[in-house]
Amino acid sequence: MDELPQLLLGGLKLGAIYSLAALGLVVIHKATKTVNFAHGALIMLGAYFGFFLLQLFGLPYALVYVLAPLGVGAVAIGAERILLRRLRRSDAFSGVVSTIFISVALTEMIRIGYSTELMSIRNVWPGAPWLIGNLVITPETLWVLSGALGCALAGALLFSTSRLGRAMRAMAANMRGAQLCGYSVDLVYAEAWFLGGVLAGLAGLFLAPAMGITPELANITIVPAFVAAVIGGFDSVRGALLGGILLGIVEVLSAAYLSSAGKSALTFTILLAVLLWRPEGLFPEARVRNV
Amino acid sequence: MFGRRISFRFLTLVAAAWFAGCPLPTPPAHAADPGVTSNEILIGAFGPLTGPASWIGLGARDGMQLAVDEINAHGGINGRKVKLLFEGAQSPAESIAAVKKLVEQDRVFALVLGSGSTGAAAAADYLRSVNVPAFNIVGATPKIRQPFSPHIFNGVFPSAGTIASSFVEEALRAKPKKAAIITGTYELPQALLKAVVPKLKAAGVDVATVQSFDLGAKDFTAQLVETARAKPDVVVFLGHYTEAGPALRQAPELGARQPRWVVDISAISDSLPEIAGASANGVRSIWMFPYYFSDPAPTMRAFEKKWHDRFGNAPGRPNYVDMNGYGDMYVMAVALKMAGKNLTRAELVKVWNNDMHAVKPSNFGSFASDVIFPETFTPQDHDGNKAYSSLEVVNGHWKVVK
Amino acid sequence: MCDREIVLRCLKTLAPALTVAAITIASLAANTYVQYVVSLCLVAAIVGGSLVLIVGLTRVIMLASGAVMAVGAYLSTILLQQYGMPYPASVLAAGAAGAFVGLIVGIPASRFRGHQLAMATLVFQFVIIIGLREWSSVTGGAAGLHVPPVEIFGHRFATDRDYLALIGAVTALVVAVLGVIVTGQFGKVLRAITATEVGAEAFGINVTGFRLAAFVISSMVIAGAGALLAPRVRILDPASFGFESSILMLAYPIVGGMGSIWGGILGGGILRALPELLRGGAEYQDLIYAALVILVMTFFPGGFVGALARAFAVRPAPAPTMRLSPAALARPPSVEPPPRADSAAPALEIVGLAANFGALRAVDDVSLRVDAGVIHGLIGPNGAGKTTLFNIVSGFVTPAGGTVRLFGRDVIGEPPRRRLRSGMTRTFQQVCLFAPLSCVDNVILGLGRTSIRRTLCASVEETFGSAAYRRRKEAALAALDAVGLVHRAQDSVLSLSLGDQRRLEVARAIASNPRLVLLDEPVSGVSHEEQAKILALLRRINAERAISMFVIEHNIHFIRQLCTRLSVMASGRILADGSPEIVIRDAAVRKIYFGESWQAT
Repeated sequence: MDELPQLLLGGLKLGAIYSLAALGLVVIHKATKTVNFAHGALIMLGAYFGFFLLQLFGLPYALVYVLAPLGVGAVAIGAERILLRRLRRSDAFSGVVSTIFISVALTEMIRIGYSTELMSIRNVWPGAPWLIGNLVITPETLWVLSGALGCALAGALLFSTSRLGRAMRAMAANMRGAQLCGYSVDLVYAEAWFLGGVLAGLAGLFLAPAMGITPELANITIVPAFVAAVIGGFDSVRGALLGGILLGIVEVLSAAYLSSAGKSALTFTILLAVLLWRPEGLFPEARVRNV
Repeated sequence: MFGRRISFRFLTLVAAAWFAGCPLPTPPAHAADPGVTSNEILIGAFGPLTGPASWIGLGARDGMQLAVDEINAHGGINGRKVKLLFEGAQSPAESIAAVKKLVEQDRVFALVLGSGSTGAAAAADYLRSVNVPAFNIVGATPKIRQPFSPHIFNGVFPSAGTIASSFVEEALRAKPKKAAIITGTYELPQALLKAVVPKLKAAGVDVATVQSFDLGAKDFTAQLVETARAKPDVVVFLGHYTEAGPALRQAPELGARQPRWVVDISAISDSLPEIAGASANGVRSIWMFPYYFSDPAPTMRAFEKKWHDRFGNAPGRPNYVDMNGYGDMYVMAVALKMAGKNLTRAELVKVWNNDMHAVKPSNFGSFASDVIFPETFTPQDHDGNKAYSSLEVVNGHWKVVK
Repeated sequence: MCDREIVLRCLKTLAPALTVAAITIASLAANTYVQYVVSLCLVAAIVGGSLVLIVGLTRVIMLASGAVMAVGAYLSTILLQQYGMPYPASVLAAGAAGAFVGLIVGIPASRFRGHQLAMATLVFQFVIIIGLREWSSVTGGAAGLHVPPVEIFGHRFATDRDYLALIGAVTALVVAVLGVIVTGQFGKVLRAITATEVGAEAFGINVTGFRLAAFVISSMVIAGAGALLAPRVRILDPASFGFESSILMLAYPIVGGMGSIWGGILGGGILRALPELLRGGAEYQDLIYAALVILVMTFFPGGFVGALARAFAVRPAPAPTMRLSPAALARPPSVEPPPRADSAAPALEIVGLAANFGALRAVDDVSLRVDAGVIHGLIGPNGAGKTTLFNIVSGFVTPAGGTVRLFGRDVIGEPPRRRLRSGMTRTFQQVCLFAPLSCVDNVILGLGRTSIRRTLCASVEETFGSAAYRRRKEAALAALDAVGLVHRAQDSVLSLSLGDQRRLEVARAIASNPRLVLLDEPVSGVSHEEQAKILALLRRINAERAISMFVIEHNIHFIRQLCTRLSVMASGRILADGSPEIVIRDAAVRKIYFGESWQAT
């Protein structure tokens, strides 16, 4: 049992990244009612953009952490404007399915350009690990934990409190009404996808040093992002954060105490159970108001 | 939709489009074997060009093409030029389709299997039933080798059983008493695992724990913590470098880097020390070739220069499949040459079974680079290569060590 | 209905199967490479056709098709090898297993819609593949399972041509059956459910049951396709049936065209052939595939089939003159014997009904009686609870207390779809028609008798133009004639004006010869002339067919002309009840509508 703290730390680190990934998904869904299956591809792009800026342009990490997510945000807006906008008028079905194939297209484009070669970037915070009792903490772990969680919280706050966030929530609640109040649908959708893209790009940057940079990142990250979002509650910002952390811990603990197949089985069983018995998620936002 | 009258126009359009794509039945073949004309030998090959395993197919294709170009530049084989037809194929269905196309439609003389997965196994199944000589250069899975077929030969990569023995030999060099195994759940690592565990146990090593991970896993917290707990003398990692890299990188944080790590062949890549950083130093593996990349030996230098001159700079290339494809294409060329001007499939198979002893690329011509171990074939043993070198990561680079 | 029409309809439904047969026969002469590829494409056509059912018609983002195919392929191979089962039996067993998996996957379908349903199917995809991989003692695990060659009644299938003939025959058969299901009544019901679940439930359709049936049927076919494919790929491994393969198969109906069986088989056949056609640019294969799907979805909704239809400008054939037998017009053909009930009982009796939404009392101790044969109006300001009352009566909302008696029978607790059989139908405030079906199809659905079994039979009957189908069509046309829309019978409801749509809703509501119709704002948003027409129509129907009516309206002028009894509802309570003239003059009623300072005129 004494490896439990170490496992929990690993789970938290993984969970922080999952939270960031799930948050982007939830933001896009809350504002545009679109389920973005291309989110994993956006995360992958974040990792690749980080690589370009760092290795090819030699920029300092601080700048990379600003520019790369912005780049992914731009791609997200591009996808929305060029492809998804036309489908907005038809049903949600087409939008979702096209995001599935946008993901495939993005992954393949990267694969053609860079093949499946695994590339790496250096740690943000290199250095020897610290020892606290039995617990080994590397500076990188601390960075990922605090940074990912910090960005997630910032994103959540942005969505919940700013005018931008209010506009997005209004648009989702009632498009016509929001338009009558002066909110522009095009602008709000663009902003939502931008924010979602930025969050995905950040997730990609945080996980790139540890997981390496490969086109497979798209497929690897989409499922945990989804599962975290559904478990937390697909329309709940707070749920995305808590669901991600919960998922990270569950994954690591079950991989340790069961097998890797057991881990997948448990994760999916939880997902199914949540869908069946608490479809609004484990941490939904309060929505029912009594008048 | 079509709620009104049937559009017969539509039907005829569909039929016409279909027939347009349908080639006419080919006339019966000449008395000579297909794929051979007075001035050309047609060799077919296939492997994955897309998807996560595309590095295998691309390496096979480019390596073979490099050899073919060199052979043709020096007069070809017995006055005939070699033409290589490489088809992309990932899944079993695609591999079978590729092979059928190559054999039935393109009428190639012989085939090279440049795919390592069940795709190649499916194609091999079909190949056993037609009499086309085939050369499996990359696939280690037993399904390609069993049941034995007189006209299927294996190149650089021996069977998983042989690899496992060599691998265990390497792991035993440190004289461990306890071993921990971290393995992927997918096909190749599992095949290796089945062979490695009993051999380790037979050598008196206590296999303290076997941790598994899924294809493409990137987080190894659980596996590494459990591994550290077992306090092994050697850690055996069976998986791809895209998994070994992150695992090694994470290992120090979890106290699992102390023992010696031995990784399997698919973990060997320049990316491994890049991703894992300093914790890759001291990691060992076995290598089916006499040299590693950037080895100062003139042979290797010449090969890499040739490759870059032809294909430019691509990240991670040439990879070992490039060397594999290049070297084994020469082995096949030697056999083709020995079969003589009167080239038939039967003759090629006969020569390959009986006359191929310690064949290396330079046997074909001194211009060829000997980047593979010499290969030997007998009528009962079609595994051409069983030799290996030991590799270790020294100062962030893989090096062949004694 | 003359024979020529029946033959045409038969040919139209069976055309896909005939095309498949033609392609098979043509390919028998080609070389083995082509024969092999065509076999693969035929299997893909089967998958595409069945996906039209679940993805196209039921609008489920089905992400588990790879796993279902794997179940079929593995099961049939294991039965062949371990138990020596003959191949045809193993294919049928595979289908049964697929149906079972469809049932399991489909059960969440009753609860979920949209992305949650997609996630549920995704879960099954992963869990099934992981299971196949882990159960290595039976399935060979990650290394895979070798598939023996097929032997049927002693004849060993060795050549590509043998297999092509076998697969072609099976594909033609399956496509024929799927064609009947998709273009027939079953497909129409699925389309109706996708258009409006509420409308479907209100007219007797078991929405949950049909969605489940769609899952079961398509999974059964996909699993069978897997069993058919297995001998061709020779080695089964879990990886080739993974999530990526599900995505690729999802593209079949989307690129082909989601609305028809043609779309499924074209999409499947063409997309499966794509890797072979793209051998030149093998590295770009997957990218081209994805780009193609995105392009088709964005710029050619309706897929290949839709684009071809537009390109060839398939113009609607002139509406065949709807010949109604004079007898049909004279008396409304009774399709459904009305349930026995006390004939002296009021059509509708509501006692002490109460319903709450949280702390809001939407319906507060309402008691009301609609006598048989009467047109009874219900008015009240917005938010009074009128539509809620309707929804309780039609079964969509469960009341907190009180009773609702329909012709003497207590119906509280019965699901909405039972109302049709009890003799009650309704129209909706927001028109709930089954778009884009035609008017006559909408009304045929209004006739009821749409259990799954009956619908499947009806699909067959429709293809072969049986007498039962003719009777149904005549009844529907008669109802359309009664509302004056028979000349638009073949037009899609989307091409109707709002007034015509409201009349169509009325036609649908009366087609089954109900005894009570609930009409929710039948003239809302309708022009003045239309109002007069609808007024006359309703009165005529009430008189000729003895149908009681319960009508919500805001248009007081309309309602006082229409009804013989009027109730007023405000804040969940009944304020007044009686003849229209008296009720409208009631002081309390005036106060509600016009405020305190109104002086009685």
